[in-house]
Amino acid sequence: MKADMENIEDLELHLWDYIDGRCNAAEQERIAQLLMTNELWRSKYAEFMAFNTSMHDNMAIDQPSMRFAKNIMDSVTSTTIAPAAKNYINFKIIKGIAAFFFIAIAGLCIVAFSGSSMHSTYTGYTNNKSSMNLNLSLLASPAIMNLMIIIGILLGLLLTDNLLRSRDKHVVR
Amino acid sequence: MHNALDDIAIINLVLQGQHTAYAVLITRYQQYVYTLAMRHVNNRELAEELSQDVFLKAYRFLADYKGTGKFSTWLYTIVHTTCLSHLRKNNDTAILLTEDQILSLPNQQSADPIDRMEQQTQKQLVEIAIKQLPKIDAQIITLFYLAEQSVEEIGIILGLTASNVKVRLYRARQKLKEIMEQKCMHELSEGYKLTTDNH
Repeated sequence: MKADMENIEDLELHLWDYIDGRCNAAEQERIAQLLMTNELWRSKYAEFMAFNTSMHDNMAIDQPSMRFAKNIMDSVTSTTIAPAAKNYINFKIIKGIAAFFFIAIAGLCIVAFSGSSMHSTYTGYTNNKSSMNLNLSLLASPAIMNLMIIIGILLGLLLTDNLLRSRDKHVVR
Repeated sequence: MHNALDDIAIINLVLQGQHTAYAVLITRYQQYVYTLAMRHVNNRELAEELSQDVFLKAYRFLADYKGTGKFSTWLYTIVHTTCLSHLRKNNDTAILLTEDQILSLPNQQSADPIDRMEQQTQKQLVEIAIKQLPKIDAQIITLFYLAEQSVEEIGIILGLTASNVKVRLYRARQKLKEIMEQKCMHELSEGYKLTTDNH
């Protein structure tokens, strides 16, 4: 019963693909053959085509008020078209920030793993336990922390400066 | 004057400073934008307000339209995001009618059920059935049949994969057929009951 339902659903999905023109040539030919020889496919096809026609003919389109276009055009006169985003987004800065984070994460991993000890113990028939101790104390040293804070502040200042500059440019325009 | 021009040509004119050409795009797409907004909010005033907002946003960011896809697809994406952000801000939820509410929706005013059944146009039936669908499915059906967007374009507009849209479209069609058949059967049985009572 369930298999029959799945078959019907499969048939219907294929048929809709055929009607919507979403089949490849081979599939299209196969379905065209089935429509000529198989009564079930033919009746489903007729049913779907009737549904499609009904939808195309009977879907109502809503009308806004008479003043709709005029209202928008009134507002448009006082609106300026913004420059394309690609003109004011500096992709070099975005790439720079991405590179910084990537390098920082990679550096952290290298530092953390270089200070770790990794060993394996064989404890019986199938148990193979391995333990890994990361030496995070290396990262928590005051010098590294200060360096991180300074880099963070510098990046923050650069970002703010860039934002303010782009805003100024828009105001001038 | 600009009516015969295609969308890209009109956009170029607007970008060159002829902002009055934008009126052609508004006239061309206002009904579709408004209908799609109605599918989201189901309120005429609010749909009109949101549609105006959509056209203003599209105007402001017209330089960002790359021209790789259809202008209509880009515009309907703005409709979708504008309506969604409005609904999120106002914490609105979809208002779906129950089966009983659908079956008891008022028809034309004739007292005779047979007349009433005849008067109930196919258009009403389709509209009632679409209102019963979940919002996203109603939008997919509207975009597919009314706005003539492909499955891939609908995917771009609604932020779904093409295969997801395809399956949803299939289910929405099934559901629509069921609702329309159910509604017709209900009308027929009600008509039959009343005529036998009269005899």
